[in-house]
Amino acid sequence: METAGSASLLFARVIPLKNISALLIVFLSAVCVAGGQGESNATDKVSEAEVPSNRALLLNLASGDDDLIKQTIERLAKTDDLQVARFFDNYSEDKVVNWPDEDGNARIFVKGETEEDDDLNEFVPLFDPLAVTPFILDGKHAKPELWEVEDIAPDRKLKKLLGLYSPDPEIREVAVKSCASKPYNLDALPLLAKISETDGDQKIRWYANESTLLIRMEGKDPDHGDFDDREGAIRQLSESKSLRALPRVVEILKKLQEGDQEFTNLTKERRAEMVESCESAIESIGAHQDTVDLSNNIFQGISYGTVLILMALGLAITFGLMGVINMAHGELMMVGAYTTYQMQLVFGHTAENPVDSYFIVALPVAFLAAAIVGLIMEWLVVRHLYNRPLESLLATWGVSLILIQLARVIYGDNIGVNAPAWLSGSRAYWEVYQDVLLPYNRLYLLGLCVICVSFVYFIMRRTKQGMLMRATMQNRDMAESLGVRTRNVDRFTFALGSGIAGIAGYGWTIIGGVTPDMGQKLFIVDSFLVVVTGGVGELAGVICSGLGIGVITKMIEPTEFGDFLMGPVWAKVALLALIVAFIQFRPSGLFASKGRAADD
Amino acid sequence: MKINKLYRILASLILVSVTTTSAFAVKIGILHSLSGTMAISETSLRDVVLMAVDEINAKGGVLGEQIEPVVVDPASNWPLFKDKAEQLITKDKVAVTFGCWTSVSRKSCLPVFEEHNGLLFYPVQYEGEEQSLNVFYTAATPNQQLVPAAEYMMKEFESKKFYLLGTDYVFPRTANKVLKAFLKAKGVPDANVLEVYTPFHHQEYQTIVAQIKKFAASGDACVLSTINGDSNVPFYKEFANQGLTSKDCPIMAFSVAEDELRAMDVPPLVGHLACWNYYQSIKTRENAAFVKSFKKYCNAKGLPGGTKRVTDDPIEAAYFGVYVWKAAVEKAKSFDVDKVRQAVYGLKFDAPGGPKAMHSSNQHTLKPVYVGEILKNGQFKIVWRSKGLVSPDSYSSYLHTDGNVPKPTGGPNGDGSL
Repeated sequence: METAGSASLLFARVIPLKNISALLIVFLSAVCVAGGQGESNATDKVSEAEVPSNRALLLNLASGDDDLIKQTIERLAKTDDLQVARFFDNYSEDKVVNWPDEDGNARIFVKGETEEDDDLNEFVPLFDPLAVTPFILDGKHAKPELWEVEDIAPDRKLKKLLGLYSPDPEIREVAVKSCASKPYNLDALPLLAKISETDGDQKIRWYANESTLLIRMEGKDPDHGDFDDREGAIRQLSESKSLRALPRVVEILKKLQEGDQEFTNLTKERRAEMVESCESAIESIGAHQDTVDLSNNIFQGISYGTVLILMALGLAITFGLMGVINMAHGELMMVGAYTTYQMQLVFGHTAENPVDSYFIVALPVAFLAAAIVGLIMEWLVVRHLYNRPLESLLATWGVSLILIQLARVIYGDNIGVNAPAWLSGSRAYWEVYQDVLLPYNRLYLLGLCVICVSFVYFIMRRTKQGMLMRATMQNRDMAESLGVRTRNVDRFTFALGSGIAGIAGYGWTIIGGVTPDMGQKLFIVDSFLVVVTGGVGELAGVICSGLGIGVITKMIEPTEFGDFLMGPVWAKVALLALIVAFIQFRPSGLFASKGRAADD
Repeated sequence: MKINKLYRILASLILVSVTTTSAFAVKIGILHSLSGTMAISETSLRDVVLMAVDEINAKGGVLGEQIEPVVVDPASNWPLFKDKAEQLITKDKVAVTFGCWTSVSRKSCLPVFEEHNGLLFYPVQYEGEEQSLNVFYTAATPNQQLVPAAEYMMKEFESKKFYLLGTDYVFPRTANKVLKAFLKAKGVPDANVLEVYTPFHHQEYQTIVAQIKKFAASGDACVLSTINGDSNVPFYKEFANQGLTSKDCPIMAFSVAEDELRAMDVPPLVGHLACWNYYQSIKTRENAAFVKSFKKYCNAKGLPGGTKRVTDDPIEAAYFGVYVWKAAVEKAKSFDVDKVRQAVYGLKFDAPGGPKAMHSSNQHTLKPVYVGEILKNGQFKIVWRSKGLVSPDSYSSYLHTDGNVPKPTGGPNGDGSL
């Protein structure tokens, strides 16, 4: 296939592109096609005729002439070639570049990942645009410096069209949906209509149909612009309960009632009919919207609740059961998050080259790492301070500062954990009911939370170690006199709580960011809030208060009073006020304490 | 700190004793947080200023004198900025200070610079509404970032609805005030503009994104985001989570640059936008050289990140600030603040991102404006650039419609007169 690369070089040399009109380019590329066929008959057996012509056509993309580019895309699309489809994907991902030769003639390539030499100069490896084989120049893979090549990217409207041709359903779905967002690309309408009937993917067919109708409803489709068509579109959208249609129908209704000039040609009866269809559409889609909103609020509340439970579960063990005010709890979560990052580095996972298995391995490793840090902490600091809550508060705060600075020194301030591919992407959700989307990463956290809670319950209630833990926490002296080695139990309990915190940090990386001070900034206050509200010393309390706080927050946040939206700032204020009031009535939280704290 | 000082005293003693012809060093102050919340952003600025100093010293210094940087750490503690500035000016007697990131830190040390008639180069884009003769602002004013970005959305995306989302502090509040006044002037009805704030370090964006999804269902909405710091990651992740893409509802961000993208899971951000006056991806030989030397510098000094470090708008602004000061000193042939100030006005210079100029009568910088689209590798693709340089307008004409703006403050007489 290397000959294909040299062939493209040859054509590039033949065509002088600079300062000639679009027409001339088309003419010349035709000439090249004619000339090229003779020379390249031995190069590519699969598509002998297409390859040179496609290759020559590609040069048009560097012309900067929008009409010519559009025509070129249409001509290329007609070839129905897999290489062309792949080129379209690269083109819409901004990977296509122009690297002119010495005479300034355009040469089109697909670029690879930027490479760096020892002197930190950046080079772009170039590939043949269609075959995607390395482009060989003077016997070497051509890698010009980054600033020498010019990106030629499609404009926004063209990208919408290109996406429709993509063989990747994920890209196609985004493109199909975006056709009904501004700015419209009306050139895409015929293709959209075709997709709505023939596409293999049911969801894409649905979106294609929706997008077509939305454009038609607004009277923007040149072939279906009259009022009967528009009204028909409104009815169909109302039947399919399209949420995207709702604000647009409201807009149309407003225009109708205000007598916008768009509707001046309508007779009185027709207008009344149209108003009626709009109103019935608003009613029917509006009811659907309310259901969706309610389901979303509940799910989001539960999902937020599971995050809170995960955060607080470890603390419920170390603070709730053991009575240690561990201010470094957030940092144990940070350790879990950084361990996940470290695993990503070890496995070489990046957004470009996903190695998803790292995320599975990171789970036990994060648990162990945080548990070990917890063990060391217990041995160095905490064990000297049992029953001295104030000192342990200060000492663990100090430990937390040390851990933060440690993370900063080792990793610097900015790092990013890339979610595994199966938890990200525009299709990473489960649609339980039309428009009620449950994202996989939230579901993953929910599962993680259930597993962690069951795991802790299992250890506490079904194992001997758990029995010893409960015995020690309830009455240390009695347990000791019965031969329980309470030092070991303390150590184990603290490590268990720390390990659970590590898992929380691990789970956090798929929904949030990782910074050295994340523990103090994001977690510690919320964790204590959940544990204290739930009742110190009882795990069930954490679960109830975590879910409760989650759902209540998500119910308050979207509440509106006239023009005033509660939003996150006021929701937090209201929630804290509620909790303060609640603690007044039930100082020991939802569930009464049975742990060591109860003895004090 | 103490050890540093000890070294410095020792070093100067040795210098004086060994070389009789040693030139006097001129001191400059570097006032950036190296610990605490803001360290994440500000350490990069200290690094790049030190790099500029090294470059200048290697080429013979300024007016034949070597520059000696005095680095202090105000530790993201706003009142401490004031104390450290005082120390730099009165104790170390620095000729100029490069520093500050947040507006509140600048406001905190501003009285010190005005009282002692000192000079501060401030390298971060801010909300405007300020004009002190003791500060040169080398980054964007609202009309060099916010307004062009909103204009771009209206033109390119035909946006008619705007969701203004920000962290709850002075920059987003003022920025949104300017944006709202601008949108109103462009005829966008109030009902089409939503303004929502979240607390610092907010992480729970489910409700807000659900609201944006409803808001953007009409297909002609965009988000103008002044969300700051660590809230960006959960926001963009949740945005992608709920099935939204940049094609349904683009997010135009004013606080996300290359350096912030290093800490993020980039795929959910791909295709969204940001507006700045410089990008690492500006394709010129000069910029390639700048990027390279910054990476080399970070690597040689063993700074975290090493060769993986990136340049961005504030880093460029901090870097060329040093060169603007040098050029002004050489033009004025003096280190005196009043003479240097006069020399800065109207100064034209070449920055890594291309030629720029200082305004001839106010304290700000004429800069080009770029809109960039976020790419998978954490860099930006430049999708729009202003025609030529945009003149700074620190008191936004959309907030001061009558053209009456407050007088400058500070200066040699302390009353805003020159």
